[in-house]
Order: sequence, then C-alpha cells, then structure tokens
Amino acid sequence: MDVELAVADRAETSQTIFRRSWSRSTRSRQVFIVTGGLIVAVFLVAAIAPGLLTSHNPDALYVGPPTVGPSAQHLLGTDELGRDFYARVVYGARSSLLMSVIIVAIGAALGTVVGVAAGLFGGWLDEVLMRIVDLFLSLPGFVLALALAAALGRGERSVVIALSVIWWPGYARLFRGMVLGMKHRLHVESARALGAGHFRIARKHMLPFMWGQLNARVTQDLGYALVSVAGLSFVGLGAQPPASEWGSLLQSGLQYVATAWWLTLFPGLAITLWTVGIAMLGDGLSGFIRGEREAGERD
Amino acid sequence: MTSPGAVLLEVDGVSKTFNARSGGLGRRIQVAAVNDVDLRIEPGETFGLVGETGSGKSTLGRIVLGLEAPTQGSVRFEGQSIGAMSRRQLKQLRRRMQVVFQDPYESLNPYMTVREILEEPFRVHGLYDSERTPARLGELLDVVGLPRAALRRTSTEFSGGQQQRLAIARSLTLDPDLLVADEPTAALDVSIQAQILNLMLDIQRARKMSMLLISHNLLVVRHMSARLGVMYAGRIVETGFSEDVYRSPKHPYTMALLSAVPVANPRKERERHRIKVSGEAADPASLPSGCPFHPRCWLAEERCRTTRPEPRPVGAAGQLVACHVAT
Amino acid sequence: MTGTNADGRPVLEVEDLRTAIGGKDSRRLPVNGVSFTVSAGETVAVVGESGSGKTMTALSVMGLLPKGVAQVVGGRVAVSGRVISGLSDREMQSVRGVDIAYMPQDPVSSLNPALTIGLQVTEPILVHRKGTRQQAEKDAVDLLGKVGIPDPRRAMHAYPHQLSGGMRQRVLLAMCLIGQPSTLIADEPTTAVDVTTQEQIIDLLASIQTESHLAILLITHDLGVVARIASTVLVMYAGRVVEHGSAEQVFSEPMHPYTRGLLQSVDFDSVTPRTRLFALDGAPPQLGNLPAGCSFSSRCQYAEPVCRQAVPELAATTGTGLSACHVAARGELPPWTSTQDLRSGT
Repeated sequence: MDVELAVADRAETSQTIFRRSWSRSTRSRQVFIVTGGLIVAVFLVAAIAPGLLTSHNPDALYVGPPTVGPSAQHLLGTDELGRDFYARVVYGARSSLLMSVIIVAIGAALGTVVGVAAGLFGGWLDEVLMRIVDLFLSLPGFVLALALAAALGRGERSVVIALSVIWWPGYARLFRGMVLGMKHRLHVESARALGAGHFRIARKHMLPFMWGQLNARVTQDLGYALVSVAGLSFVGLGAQPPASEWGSLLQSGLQYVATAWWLTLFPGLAITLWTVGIAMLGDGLSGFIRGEREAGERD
Repeated sequence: MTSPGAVLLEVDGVSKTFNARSGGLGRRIQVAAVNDVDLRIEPGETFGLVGETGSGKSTLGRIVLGLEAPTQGSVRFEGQSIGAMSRRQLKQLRRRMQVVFQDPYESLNPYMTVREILEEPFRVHGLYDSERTPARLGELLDVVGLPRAALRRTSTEFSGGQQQRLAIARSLTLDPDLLVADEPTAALDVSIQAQILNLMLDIQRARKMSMLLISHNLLVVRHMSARLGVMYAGRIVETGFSEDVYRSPKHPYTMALLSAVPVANPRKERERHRIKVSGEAADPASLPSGCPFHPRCWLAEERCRTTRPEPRPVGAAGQLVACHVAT
Repeated sequence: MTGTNADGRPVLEVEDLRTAIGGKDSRRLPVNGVSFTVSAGETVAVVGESGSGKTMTALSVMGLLPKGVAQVVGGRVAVSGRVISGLSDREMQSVRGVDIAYMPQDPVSSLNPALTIGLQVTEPILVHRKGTRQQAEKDAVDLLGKVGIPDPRRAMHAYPHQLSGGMRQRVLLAMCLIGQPSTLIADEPTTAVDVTTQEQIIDLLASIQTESHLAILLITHDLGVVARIASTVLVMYAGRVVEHGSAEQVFSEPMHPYTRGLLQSVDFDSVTPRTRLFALDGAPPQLGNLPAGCSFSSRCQYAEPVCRQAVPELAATTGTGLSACHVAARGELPPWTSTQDLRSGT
C-alpha cells in the first residue's frame, strides 16, 4: 500500500532539545536572547578573565585619591582606600557569580535526583524524602542559611553550603510534581509495556519534557542565588575583605552612601544587571527549548 | 511457541477495585472497575471485548498486560501466573505480550525519531544487533505500510493513521504472541479505520498471533473477533462465538447494545425494532445490588435485584450468559 | 422568535460561504463555497472527516471563528430572512442563542467546571427572559426536565464533572433552547457519549424538533447517526461540498466516489467477518497541500486525467441530488449495488 508521508510544516528531524530555528522565532525572543546573552557574556568574562576588562589591580591601595567619584582614569571612582572601584567590581564578579552558579548547580542536581526518585519509585521512599523536603521548606530559607553559614564559620565555602542546603528542596518538589504528572502519560505506559525500567523511562520519556521548566527555574534562580549570596556577604558572612564580592562592597560602602554614592550604586547595579540579564536569556531560550509539545493542527 | 491446544491466556475470577475520593476531595469511595471476570484466549485467536464507558474493559486490558495488579483473581500466561512472576520474568513476558493504545499521538514519544521508537524494544531487552536490527526495522515498516524514509522523522510529523501504524509496528518488534489493542481505531477518521483494521487482520493472520481487541463498537468487534465478550459494570455479561452473539444475543444488555448501534441505511433504521433502554450506564462507584443491569432491564424480576447472576450456558455452544431470565 | 414558518421557507440559508485561514488572501480555505438551506422542522446533516471543514462551517455561520486565525471571506448567511454574515461581533451576540444556537461537542470543557449546573442554566435565562431569579430557577428546572435529566432539582446543585457525558450533553442542549431559537447547530452531539446514550440523545433531538419545528444542522462524521435522523445530507471533503441530496438518495445511490468509499468503509454487514473491509487508500488531505483539480482525485478509483486538472462543480447526476464529480456528471459512475438490499434475512 502506498502511503504518502505527511509533509511537515517544519523540517524537524533534530533530536536535540532545541526545536525552533532562529529565523522562525519571534522578534522579542531574539531581542531577549541577544541582550540577555550579551549581558551574561560580559559578566562571565568579568568572572573568568577580569584582566580583559580592566588593567587596574583591585587590591592595589591608593592608586588614586580615596573616595573620589567616577572620572576618566577611574571609571567608577575610587573607594575609601584609594582602590580603583571599577576593578573592584569587575574582580568581584568571580566570587559572586561563582558562588551563585555552584549553589544553583548543587541545588538543581540534588533536588532533581531526589524529586525524580521520589516521584518514580513512590511508596516509602517518596514519603521519607518528601517529609525531609517539607521540613526544609517549612523553615524560613534565608534565616536558616544565615544560621548555617554563621555556624560553619565565615568564608565563601560556608555560604555555598548553607545556600545549597536551602536551595535543593524546591527543585525536589518541582521535579516530583512533574514526574507524577508524567507517570500516567500514554507514551510512558507504552514504554512500561515494552519492559523499560525506571531509569530508562526517566531518562528518555520524562526528562526531555522537563528541560523547559528546568531552564525557567535555573535562570531565575541564578539571579536569586546571587542576591542571597550578596545578602549573606552583606552581613559579614561569605567572602571576607579584601575580596571584593558585591555584597561585601555594599556593606563597606554603606557608611558612605550619602557622600560616595558610587560605592553602593555600582555593586547594586551589578547584581541587578546580572539578574535581569540571565532572566532575559532564560526567557528568550525558553522559546527554543522543547518543553511541552505543541498541539498540532488537528481538526 | 505454545504447545497446540494449550490456552495462551487465562483470566480467572479477576476483580479490581480502586480507592478514590468522591469528586477529588470528598469522602473515600470504592470504585469496582472489574468484578469477577473469567476469560480465555487460545493461540492465534482474536477475542473481542465490547463495552461502554464504565464497563471496565480498559482496566481489564491493563490487568492482562500486567500494568495493573488485580485485587483478586489471577491472570495466567501459558499457565504461569503473572502476579507470581519475578521482575525478570515479567520483563521476559513483555516480549510475548504487547499493546496498541487508543491515542497514537499520545502513545508515541514526540522527542524520539521513528528509528529510536522502533529500536527501543530491542535495546530494552538487550537484543539490539547493529547488523541485523536495522534490517528488521525496514521489514516492520514494510509490514505496516510506512516508507523507509520515515525512520528519520519524529512521530509528530505523521497523520493519525500513520502514527497508529507506527504504534502497531512497535508492538510487533519482538514478535509477541498476544497483542492487546485498546480501541485501536477510535481516535481515527472513518476512512482510516478500515485501513487499520485490515492491517491488523493481515498481521494477525500472517503471524498467527492472538489478539485481545477492546472496543466500544460492537460491529468492529464482531467483524474482527472469533469470540467476544460483552462487558457491563465490570462483568462479562455475555460471551460466545461472535456470530452467535451477534445474530442471537441472549443478554438484555447485548440486545440493547445491538439495537442502539446506528446503521448507515435510512430505511433499515426506520424499520428496525428498537429496544429503548432508559437511564445511564451503571456507575462503578455505586453499583446496584444483584445484577448491575437490573435497574434498566425490561425483563428484570425480583431475583435480579437480590442475586448476582453467574454466567451459564444459553443458546449456542460456547455461549455463556450472566442473566437469570435469559433463555 | 419561534421557528414556525407558515410558508415553509428556509430558516437558515447559507450561500457560497468561504472562510480562510491565515489572512484574507490565504489560499487555505477550510470552507470553500458551501451552500445549503435548512427549513423549519428539517434536519440537515453535514458529514465529513477531519479537515473536511464541517466544524469550520458551523463556526463560520455562528460568527465564532477564532479571531486572528480564520475569517469569513465570502458568501452570505441568513436566518429567518435576516442576513447575519456581515454583522459585527456585538450584533451577533443578539443573534446567537435567540435566532440560532450552537451546541458544541461535549468535551468536558464546554461547561464551566467551577459553576454548578443551576448557575450555568439560570444565568442565560435571566438574560434572555427578564424576571426574577426565582422564576428563572423554576424555568431552569423545567428545562432540565424537558431534556430528560432525571431529578432536575438535584441536578441544579451538581457540578459538571459529577454528571455523565450524556447528562452534560443534555445540559448543553437545554442551554441552547433557552432563547427559543429557530435553528440549532448540533456539533457532533453523539461523539462523546456511549451508544446507548447516543440513541437517547438522538430521540430527544427528534422530539424537540417535532414539538418546536426546530431547524437542525447536524455536524457529524457518524453515518449511522445521519441515517437515523437526517432528511438531507451534505458530504464535505477538503472544504467543499462533494455531494448534496436527500438522505434516502445519498445512502441508496451515492453519486460521489468519496461518499461511496465512506459507506463501504463502515459496511461491516456485507463483508464476511475476519476478511478485509473495503478501505479507501490514503488519508484525508491537509489544507495546505491540496492536489490540483479534484481534491479527492489522489484517492479515487475512478479518477481520470480531467479530475487532476479541473475542480469539479456540484452538478446534477443520474440520481436526484448533486455531486461534484466529473465522472458522475457524465453519468459514467457505475451503478451502486447496495449490498444490504441484496442480502436477505437480517
């Protein structure tokens, strides 16, 4: 019997998670990706190779007169110890971004594994894991992180540990919910009927549907994590002087807020810009990443 | 292969009750989806299961497949009880018993290419052979009438009928002895239904495969099955050879079902003797006492209200009817 | 406005209706020159598979096409003599439910799951009939009883999900009847319900029609339902009407190869069990991809070269109806042997 193939509206033979070509995405998506991407790229350069963005040494004291506003030689002015503030902010990216990325990575990884396991296996494992998750979620997150970080001692490592601990339960909940929702889908049942085991089902028949949510959550969290990191540093935990992490910059700039406004404005701006940039990137990417399948044209 | 004469599938006294909450948050209720069902399927035979909503036919199908465990009773495949199987044995069983679901769009993973979909059974069971499997895939596509070029595409690029062909091809990859088809054509256009039914007939005949065909359409079931069972409220109320049940139904529900099926012939429609059944299909969450059909049955007597009828021989050879009144 | 027309004039008139998807000048026409009339007390069935355009036709008549996606680009629709095809959405609101009502298929989404049946039926009554809420509620109970809902008083307090498919369909019907329309468009009223309930719904429609001379436009893919209740049949394929005639004629002497194919596809009776059924090759077409000439030509066993070049118009044939087929127009379609007639004893 001669059966013709239905001609696809979109030539979609790719097996990756990216589904739509650039030219077919909407203008706003393109703008978001480009703008967000640029911002994120600049920040990442600052974090990885700060020397490319500034020739000043962030720790060198008295390279210029102290607490002087932005000028030609010092783009963002100097701080109370005469250090070039632009360099301080740029070099601060490493600490701030690195910590937030690690926190989200740990939180997402751990949370996903726990959530998927709980959803897939169900039973007593689900009960136990979810009670633990509930416990963490019932405690005020930031306060808990504060207490943990204080208990673990000052320094970047404590902040990362403390925030990771409060970060993963949210992901666990999210993924458990998604797995439960997918469990009864027909293609999952079909895979089960074929004899596929839990891991295969999770990997091939559930995970691809979750990338969209994961993207949305992660890009958002990278912003929130940074804010939390900066918050902990602000109160004195986290990165210690002379490290120029943005939160601690805010802390030390606080007393000059009326006189040397640039000492608080620019670190704050950096935090905000990163959050907005990564969120824009995530939003733009969401149009590309296959989340839920699109409804076809059915009569 | 089964030894000749031995039954392939035996369902014995199977019941399935679900716990649910009335309306989502209300009080706990019991849903008696399947109630004490017996059936047998021989090798190479098609058995049809007819029923409307709430009859429990799909649940029974899933129990047969081992996707759902019965609350009572047993399902035996070639004499071996499915409930007593180890994980490994169950996995082996999957090679012998396969399924085609109603909605092909939903039953295929939209992120997988046709090739991946057809290869999956091989990979799951460790049977993938880089030399021979690709040829097998080609053969399967030929059998179901899909072009080889389909391998590169994802399932979403096909029409409903083609998707169902793909689902059928997938079910055949490991050469099952029994195929459970749950409403395989209900989601397809009328002109495609006939194609798919023909395809299934051809396949079944060529492979001497057994089939459990579940459908709400009595005409389809009668056409495709050698024997059939009519389900109502989780019970098989009538069973027998398709021709016998179709021409000479003994259970009032079967008669009502036959009468209600519209036929594409206006004159015949007007001239037919119609049995009008009132009320709605029995709700499995609150079944009537005795015979579940009695509130709607025009032949009901007192004993129909009090005692549940068990299947007994009425009519032709092999015809069993669960009714006090039937003759 | 009741549907009684003393001189038997058509209540719903559709003339050369055209609807386009994706812009006014798009070539994708799910409704491509559809014409028919429905008189008071008459049931006209529009039959087709997916992509045929039957639902789009109904939506076009009602002015319910999804905005920005599809729009009517030609033709004329009139109800009881009044032209409604050019009306704005605002003006259509006073037509819908009052002159012509649309009863959608019952997927669960046709009724608001968050409101009780009582609320959903009472509100339109209040809007259409003015009067107190108490009166409206009483009317609602009466109406629910009229459409065959047992214990309507109790049903008023139920939520849609607590009702069966058949009950929900009846509620939808009740809501359609509130404004006492002259015409009812029933879109696949039997598809989502069981066969035994289907019979009840059809009987209900028939009795309501007899009582109020309702003109019914029945949209369906189920030929059996058509045979039971329709007096006139339109068969649609790829946006066009390919056959148009009385039910009697279309079923006993179909004059279009597609109609014949459809009838044969469901003709289980004349085929020995467990042998091959007649099946049309191929699949219903997609609008963006229609072949040149007759849309059905690629699947047609009678196709000739002219079929692939020129689109056939609806024309008279040897039968009493119209058929859009070159071969039929020339009288060269083989006679239809209705196998049900030949068979005896069933």
